[in-house]
Amino acid sequence: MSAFRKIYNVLSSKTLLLWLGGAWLLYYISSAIWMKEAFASFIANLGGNILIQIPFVIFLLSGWLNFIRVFGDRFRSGKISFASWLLISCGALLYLSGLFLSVNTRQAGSFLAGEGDVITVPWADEDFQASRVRPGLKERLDMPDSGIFLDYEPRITLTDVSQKSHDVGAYPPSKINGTYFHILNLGIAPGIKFYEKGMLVSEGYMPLRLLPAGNSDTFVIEGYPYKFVAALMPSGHRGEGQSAVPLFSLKSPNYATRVYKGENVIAESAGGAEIRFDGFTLRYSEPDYWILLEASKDPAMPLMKYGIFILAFGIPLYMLRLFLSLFSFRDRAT
Amino acid sequence: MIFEAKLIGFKEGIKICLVWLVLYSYLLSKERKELIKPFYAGLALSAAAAFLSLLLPAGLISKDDAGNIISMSFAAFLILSGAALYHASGVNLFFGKGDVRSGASAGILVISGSLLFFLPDFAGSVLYLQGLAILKDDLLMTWASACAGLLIAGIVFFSFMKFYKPYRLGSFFGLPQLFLFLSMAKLFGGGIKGISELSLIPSVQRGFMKFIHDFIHQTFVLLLVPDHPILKKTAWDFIGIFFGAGFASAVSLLLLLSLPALFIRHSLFYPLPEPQGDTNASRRRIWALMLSDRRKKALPVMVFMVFIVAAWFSYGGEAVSKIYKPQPRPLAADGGIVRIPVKDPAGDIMDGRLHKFSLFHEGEVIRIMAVRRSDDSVSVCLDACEICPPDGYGQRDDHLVCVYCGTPIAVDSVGEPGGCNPIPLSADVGERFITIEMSEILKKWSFVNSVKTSEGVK
Repeated sequence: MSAFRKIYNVLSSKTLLLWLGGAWLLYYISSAIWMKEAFASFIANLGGNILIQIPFVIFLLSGWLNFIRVFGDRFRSGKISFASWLLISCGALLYLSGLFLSVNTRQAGSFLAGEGDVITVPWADEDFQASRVRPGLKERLDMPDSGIFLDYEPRITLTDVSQKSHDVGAYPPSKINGTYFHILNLGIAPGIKFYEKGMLVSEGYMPLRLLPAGNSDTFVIEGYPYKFVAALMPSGHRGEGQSAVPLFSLKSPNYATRVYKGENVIAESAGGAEIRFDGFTLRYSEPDYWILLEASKDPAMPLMKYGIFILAFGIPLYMLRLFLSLFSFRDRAT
Repeated sequence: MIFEAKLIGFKEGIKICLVWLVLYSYLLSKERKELIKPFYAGLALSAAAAFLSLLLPAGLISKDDAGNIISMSFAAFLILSGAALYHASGVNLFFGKGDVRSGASAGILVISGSLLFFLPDFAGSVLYLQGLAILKDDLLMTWASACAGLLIAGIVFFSFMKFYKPYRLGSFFGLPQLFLFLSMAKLFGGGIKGISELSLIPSVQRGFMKFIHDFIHQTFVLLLVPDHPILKKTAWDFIGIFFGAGFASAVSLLLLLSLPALFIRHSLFYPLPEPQGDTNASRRRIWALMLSDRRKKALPVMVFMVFIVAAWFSYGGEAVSKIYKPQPRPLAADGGIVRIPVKDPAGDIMDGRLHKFSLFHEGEVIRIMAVRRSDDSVSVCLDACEICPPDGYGQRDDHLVCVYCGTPIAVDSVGEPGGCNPIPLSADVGERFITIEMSEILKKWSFVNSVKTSEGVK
């Protein structure tokens, strides 16, 4: 028997697959018991530790070779049996292969963007412009505790260098010129004008985490010793008396503001469009919206996605096969 | 008599008796009765080594170390049972080189197996009893109670054996079933936290649930699924199912049951080999015997499965519902330094529970938390991570749990930066106070609200 054949026999044997599976279990359980964050460290090692990478690659190779070796036998074993085996094996192998490739090849980053901003993705040859933001926020919130502040899924339109527009949502990610984009988070950015003795010295939008209503966030204006704490306040109420429900407008929000200088509160307002202190005026105007975009270049993403998709069909089919084998065994036994 | 010590002794005694019974019956059925002697040798060596461990310097082996070794030995027996099952079902795990059958090597294996089984449990129990003796301030009575428990277990067991000698039990056990029995004995009797945790189920449950949660989280991250509620409510609720404790618990249970289920499948549904016989009648007889043998071997596995499911849910309901979320105690900075008392009437940082503190700074409430790790060091962190909104953490058993996304965090990993872990703070932990620089707190707190950029206003 040639050396190549011997190596193939070992690699395509179920025995090697079982040994590697058992070794992985021991490795994982040991690190889970002694080092605690076992899965995170496994993924980190899969991306950079050759002592983990090599056995994993051998495991994948052995898995695929086993798949090829038993394909014929499985094909002859019956339609449902073959289909369930095919879907489960293929799905699992695709997912695991994708996981390994993804961990080792993925480039990713997140970018804060408002309408009109240019997004520079380090690995791409081109910039993208956030030409339109549709935050999907409700105009009015009347259930501040529920945390539901979206009317529909937020969208952002990205325009590439060829002026082609791409619509990007939260999920699934949109693939634009080889890079996946999706919205990771969003919020409102109040328009702010800052006046010193009546003269406008600074203006723009300040991205804040004010949602869901009830959250407060802080900001500073560079060059000035003040710190501002802002929170959304109700713009009105629905109902009367004790059953009145506060209503928060997200189109023309009402902000509570507290101004600190060092540890001391020097001004405070429970709502309104502006606050005055020490000869300064902070004025709110119509808000813009910020979007946190996640971008990722990952050639292995389809492998993982299809792997999971196939597994999702394979597992119920496998259960069905087990159920049917119960009856076939009864037939044989009698 | 000290009840808890007696219970520990009784538990270890019952474990020894049951293992002896199953092993002896198995060896009888395999006509390898002589191998019971190496078992006794392993048992004696384990007991001697466990008592000798008391002579080691204090703190060299902690109760947690012993618990970890018990968990490892449980996992080892579970993996061995799976390997033995595959081997028995036709996959030669020695690449066709044959098995270990000679007397000497089999004897060494039995001694090693006995040591692997008993030594961690004995060492854990001895350490627990030592701690109990110090707590009760009565060394003699503690050990006497434990010995009494051991004796009671022996008397009960051997009285039962006098009336009924169930040595035919061996026909219910092949080598895979024997290993599975040993791992189950560990699972149900391997706890070393006295009455509060007699079995390993809670820690196995936590380990499995953590694995499921981390696996799903990692998959979602790689597939770019948002882990914040910005999808439509129905989509977010659907994703929430996968992050829920109920889902993790159910999948964990399925994972734990998958090996016994494989046993059942092998015993009941695998095709039988063609019976060899001269006549049809003899072939049918052999076929019936093989079928009966397989069914017998499925029976103990079914019993284990019932026990696992019952124990899982009896622990599961409690584990899922209880999250301890302490109210933050207010702190104040003095000269740029924040001091947290290690022990005062309001609480003791070293009690193993989560402690939270709030610091009011320029209109913001900054939450700090402190928790003792198993090596008695104290981790001081912000009550927030870099990913989720700053909802903070609660405590469930020996894990912290992110209130927002439900990620379990092992207490021993608290203090390590990154991911779902709370943001660690550099702190000086003294005997009376934990001291933290205010600048350190403010610098790290800025990571919590990392959405803001200095270019927000131009």
